[in-house]
Amino acid sequence: MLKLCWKDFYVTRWFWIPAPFFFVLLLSTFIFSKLSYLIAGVILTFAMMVSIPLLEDHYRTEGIISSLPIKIQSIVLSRYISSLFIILIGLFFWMASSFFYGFLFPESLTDLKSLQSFEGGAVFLSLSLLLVVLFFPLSFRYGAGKALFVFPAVIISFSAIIWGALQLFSKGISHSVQQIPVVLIILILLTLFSGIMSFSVFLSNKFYKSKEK
Amino acid sequence: MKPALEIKNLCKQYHDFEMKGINLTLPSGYIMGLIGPNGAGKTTLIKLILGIIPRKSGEIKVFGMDNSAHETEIKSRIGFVHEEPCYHNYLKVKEASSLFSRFYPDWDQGHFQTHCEDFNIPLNKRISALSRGTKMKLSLALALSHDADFLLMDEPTTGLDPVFRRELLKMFSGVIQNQNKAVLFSTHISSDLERTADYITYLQNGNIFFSGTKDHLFETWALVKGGTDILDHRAQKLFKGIRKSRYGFKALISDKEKVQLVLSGKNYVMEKPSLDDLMFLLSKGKINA
Repeated sequence: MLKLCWKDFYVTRWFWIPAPFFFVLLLSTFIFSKLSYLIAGVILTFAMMVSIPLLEDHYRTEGIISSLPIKIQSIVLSRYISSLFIILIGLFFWMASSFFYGFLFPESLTDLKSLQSFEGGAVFLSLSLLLVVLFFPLSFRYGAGKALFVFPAVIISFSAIIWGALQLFSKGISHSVQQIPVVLIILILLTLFSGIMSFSVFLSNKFYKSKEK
Repeated sequence: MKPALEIKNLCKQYHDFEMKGINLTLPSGYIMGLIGPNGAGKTTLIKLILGIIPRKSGEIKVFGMDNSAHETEIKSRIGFVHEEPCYHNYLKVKEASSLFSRFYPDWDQGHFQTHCEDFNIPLNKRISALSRGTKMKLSLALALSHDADFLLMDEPTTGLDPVFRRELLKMFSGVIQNQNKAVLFSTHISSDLERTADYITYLQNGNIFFSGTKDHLFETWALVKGGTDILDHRAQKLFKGIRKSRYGFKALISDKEKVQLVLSGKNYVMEKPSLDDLMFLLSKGKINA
């Protein structure tokens, strides 16, 4: 499986040399609002992550890749692992950029300081992983190119569901949350996230197995 | 010795195509050719053998092992050539080989370079700059460089010049000198099969019309030609595929003695069919079950 991750980075290795430079440069446009800086970082990381399946889609290498002596499930899993690597790279550059810009403009960028924390990193990671779990089943079902067209609709629907759920239960939640220990909340969130991730991998596997290669 | 390939009651269904009850056996040490018209299911069958698409039911065993239970082991023993070799085109040939070599424990880089020299594939050229024929040669070189026991090839001779095609077919014969190896390839070029294959499997509309040794095939089937005036109901019932024209008819038969009896005293010719005749009459001729 790690060989496949290596393959993902090997075939895109020229892309990774200028990518961090453009990443940091593009982020400079969003430094005056922490929300836009966060969203821009997540979107740029997602763009880097999606480059690998997009390339495979473009060159139609699926048939050749799936003929290699590896399990079909490993192809799916390795895509998730490669993405995790990219998200960590993205997190590093996003965080480093915030320190860099904070150092350059210490007085005007106080808003960014709140992101330079464990919580800031956790939010970045959660949002990036959320995009991964939503995108890959679509990518393995329709191919990365087509999935990108469907993806905004999925994101909007998902956000609407989450927003609706929060509106419905916000009072009840905020009241009960105060009584639950923080460790338990973290555990619940981690379990929830692992569940969503496992379901995403399961769906991707199912779609990829039945996909014409 | 276990057969290189054993397929029992294999079924696969798409919304507009069905492959039903496929049975075939390829013993080790032999070459099997897969023929059939476009859309007959040749590529589907090859992908099913490789396990890259799921089957509906049935059994596929490669060297006695189920192809889904022993997916990795089987794939590492197969040298696969895709109908349309698609790679990351911006890679150089040597980069593609370094990418592939990581996945095959028995990869022999020296062997790969020898194949590239023999096939005139420039190692430093980008894949995008190669012609279709050279891309196919690269695909063959990659498939031949990890000491595969089973060469599984989907139309490997497509796009190749006749000289190289002949050399390649000779190479297939060389591969099976080792009695533990086998070759299965699909093609539209029937002369390739007549020249090389020991076994022939004819697919049509997802079904196997016949599968057996080439000798048995030509012993069983015959081509009958004659004027339409000799065609009566009894004769026509014996014909498996018939094509009529203003000047006469030609038909395939599988029961020579019966046809000789029915047509005795009439003016007709019976001869050995070519694979082209078989393919043409079975796919385009009127077929009696």
